[in-house]
Amino acid sequence: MINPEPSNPAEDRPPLDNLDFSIRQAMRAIEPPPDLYATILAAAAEPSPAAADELVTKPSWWSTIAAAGARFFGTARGAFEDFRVEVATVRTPQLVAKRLQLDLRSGELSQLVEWLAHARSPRPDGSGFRPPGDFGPVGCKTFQWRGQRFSVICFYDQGKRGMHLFSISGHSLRQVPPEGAPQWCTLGGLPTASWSRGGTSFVLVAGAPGMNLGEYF
Amino acid sequence: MSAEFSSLVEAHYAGLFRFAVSLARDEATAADLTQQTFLKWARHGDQLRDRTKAKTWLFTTLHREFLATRRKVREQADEEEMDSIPAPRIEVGNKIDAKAAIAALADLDEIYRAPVAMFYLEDMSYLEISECLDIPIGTVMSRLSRGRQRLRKILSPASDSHDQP
Repeated sequence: MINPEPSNPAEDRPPLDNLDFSIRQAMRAIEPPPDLYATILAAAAEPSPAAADELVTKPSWWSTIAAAGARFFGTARGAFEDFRVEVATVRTPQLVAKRLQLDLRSGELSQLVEWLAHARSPRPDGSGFRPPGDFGPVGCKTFQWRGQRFSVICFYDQGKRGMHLFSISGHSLRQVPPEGAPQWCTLGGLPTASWSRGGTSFVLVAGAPGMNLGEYF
Repeated sequence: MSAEFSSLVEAHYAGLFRFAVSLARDEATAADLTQQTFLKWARHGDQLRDRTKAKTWLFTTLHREFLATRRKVREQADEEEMDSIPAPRIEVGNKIDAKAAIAALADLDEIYRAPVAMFYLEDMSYLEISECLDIPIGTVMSRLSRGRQRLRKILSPASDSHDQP
């Protein structure tokens, strides 16, 4: 019989024996589905129906004026770190889960860059990133983040591993990465590389954990 | 979508999923419960003033979601099928398979299942379990004691004797 009362009032949980440890170890061996993390982030990023209605039916004159004022005084510029978190943990999982439609599908990188130029969106011409031979571009998409336009070009290899190259104007962000060698970090389990060139900042996000992005620079 | 939210999901989604599996017995339902819990946080989590209680909030919400879902299932269908899933009795010594542990947990009465799962999966204290399940701490202690005892009996019938005073 296990005594329900702690032997010492300071103890706030019962002591464990070997069998308890085995049970604990066994229960903790249950692994969540590999896409659960990305699915949660993607679902949470979508506005609730009520919130979407509110956005459509209740434009706030005060928030409009406040946003315009913030832009005028330069306080609306977000930090690059927040942008990187957004694209790595929200946009990439949405793209991988095919929750977002690409604006243009093409296997020609020059065609995608040209289309983004026509759409007046940041784009990776002369970015320093060179997709390897086994990765081909499949399409591009433009987005808005805190009032700033940014774009992504998606690359896939024949094994359907993905890479997503996000571009945003460096002038619209605070604390952008320096020009030159990329900065590396893993966000939401996905490797990322960030760098700036010619006034544009870039984030390359792997579509799956464990990819070595260093090969592509 | 904030960095805080991503960090919160990263820190707790696996634990919540395991807790959901222990309650719901199947992984698809557990994944739905986990996702639903974080959606609630995304929409209402900002109302929680004490951010150190986020974990408690998440486990409480998942447990409530599970109870609500199960109520609906019971209203819509005969519960006989749900309760007829047999949990295997396994004599395995100290080497226990994960699925066997979850199956054994599922064999416990529901009042014991949640506190036992919180204890084994998350190493929660009596107080934390009490807060999550909104029951008195003395009730947590007795349910945890009886639940553990029954779980141990299922997983290793011989082990019951060495806990005797």
